[in-house]
Amino acid sequence: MAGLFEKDIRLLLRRKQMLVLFLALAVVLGFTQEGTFILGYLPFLGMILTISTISYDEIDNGYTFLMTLPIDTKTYVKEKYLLCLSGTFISWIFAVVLYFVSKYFRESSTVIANEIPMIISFLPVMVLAMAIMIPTQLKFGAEKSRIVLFIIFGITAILSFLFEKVIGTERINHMLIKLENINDAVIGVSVVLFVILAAAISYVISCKVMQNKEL
Amino acid sequence: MISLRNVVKTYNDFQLNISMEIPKGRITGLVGKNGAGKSTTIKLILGLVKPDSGEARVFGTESCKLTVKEKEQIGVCLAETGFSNQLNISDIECILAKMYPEFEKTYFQRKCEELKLPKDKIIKDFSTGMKAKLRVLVAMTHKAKLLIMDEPTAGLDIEARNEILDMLRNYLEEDEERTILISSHISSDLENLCDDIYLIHDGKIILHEDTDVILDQYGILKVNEAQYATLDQTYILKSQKEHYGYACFTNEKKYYQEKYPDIVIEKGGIDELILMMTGGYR
Amino acid sequence: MNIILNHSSMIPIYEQLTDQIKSKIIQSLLKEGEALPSVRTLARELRISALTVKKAYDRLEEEGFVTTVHGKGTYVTASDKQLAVEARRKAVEDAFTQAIDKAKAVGLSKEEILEIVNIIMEDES
Repeated sequence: MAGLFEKDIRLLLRRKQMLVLFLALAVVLGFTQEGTFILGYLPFLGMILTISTISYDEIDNGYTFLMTLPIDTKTYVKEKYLLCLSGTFISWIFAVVLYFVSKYFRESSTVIANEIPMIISFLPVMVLAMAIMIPTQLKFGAEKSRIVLFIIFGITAILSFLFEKVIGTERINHMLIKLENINDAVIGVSVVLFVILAAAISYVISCKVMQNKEL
Repeated sequence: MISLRNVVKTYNDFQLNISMEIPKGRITGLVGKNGAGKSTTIKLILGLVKPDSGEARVFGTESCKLTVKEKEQIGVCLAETGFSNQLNISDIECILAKMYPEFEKTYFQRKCEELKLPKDKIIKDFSTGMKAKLRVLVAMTHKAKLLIMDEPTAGLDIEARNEILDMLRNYLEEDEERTILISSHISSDLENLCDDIYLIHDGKIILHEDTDVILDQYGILKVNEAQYATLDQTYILKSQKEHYGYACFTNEKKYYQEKYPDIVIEKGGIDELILMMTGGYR
Repeated sequence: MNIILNHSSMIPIYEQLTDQIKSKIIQSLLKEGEALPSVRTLARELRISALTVKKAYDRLEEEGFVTTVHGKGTYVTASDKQLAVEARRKAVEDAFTQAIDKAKAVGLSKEEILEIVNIIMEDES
């Protein structure tokens, strides 16, 4: 796996100019925008960038050669997940720092403790997105997976629209109020469990996809 | 080292059905036309593709189940694919160092200089010859016991080809247990390098012979109608109608040299072998 | 080693190799006990297959010109050994000459003599 990390990090660093641009953009946005945008933007960027290493592997039948190296498909998949998680997490930390720094400069008062749940809430969303995107990219390749993701988001939007229509806004509000009454800790734990489950399922699917790939 | 027993692989309009045994310390050549099944054979050997039936084994282990440690003993050079072309030589050096415990860093660096591979360009900007040399070098710099090369000299000029062939010869000289399997359709490369040759055509092995036997004992008799009528057919493998009469392919050139001193006999190299056995001889 | 091979010749490569090494030994260009290059080294120098070199070395060993020590290499045999082989050959030739003289004395033709030899050899195998 060390070799795979070496390869992916070097590939990412090749695009130094792009990285610097994104960072600069991030800092600018961090200071000009109302805080929370950056908390979603940066980790999302980190995730997209690390997942993009898959497309480098895929080009020009790269998988074929990769699989002749002393690795197996499980290791390959594991490395991708680890890379993506670390990349996303690091960007998130960076975003959090930027968020608080910009708040300090704008001299808006803030109680850090209160903001923590909100800040942390971005992470499960990112992990969920990763759980969907990695197997999709592995199976369909970089090009097609964009379409697939578009379709997935489209379907989700339609479903939530229908959901609202069928169930009715009233009842949804009822449910939301009920949710609020449930202990925060319970919500927190269930979210974490749900995300872990999603990630595990995603990992298993990715392994299967790679094993059955025609090389 | 390598063993394929009744391996069958079917694609849409093509079926591969072969058996092969390659012992330790050999350089074996795999020749055949494009589409004959060379690359598929190599993919089966490396475990990249699963056979529909039969067994493909390397080091005694089924190819699809090769362990990481076993793969460290294999050096691979594939025809059209390698490391991402966004990487450069020092990237690859560091990656190989982390992938292969036996990676020879100094040897790799020295060879890159000798072969004049540019240090600061990414692979995308390499010439065809440089790309090929790098692919071969990557396979040969971690003391692998088995090298598998799919068309390592394709598209190269004669000078580059000779450089690579010499590298392979040196590689084998260092350790007598090393084995190489090369697929190619540049016959002269194989004639000067390989111990034995497998000829593959339409997914089947139609010939397996030692190289020097091919060069020394195989030949083509060129006879007119009259000579053909009285020709001893014992050692004629195949005959083909020609404008002057017949071209007869034999694996006992000496027999015919002694028995029919007047008949024109040409040496049979691997090219003639292929053309004759696959029916395209002129 | 200064071996020159003619790839266009009708003479098999391994035969050319055997002949040239043999003549070097006979002319003492290769001394007794001298090591011949390893199979792979010679194969590399001459740009031929290692199997061909091995066949040549095996042939030379059969004829007594070299000895292969497993794991160490191939060496030119002491010339007295060569002489011994030559002497043995000579003895066989002499025995043949005697037998043929006898056969001719009894009135056998060349074809009949050869037939007898063939039958005897077939019996052996």
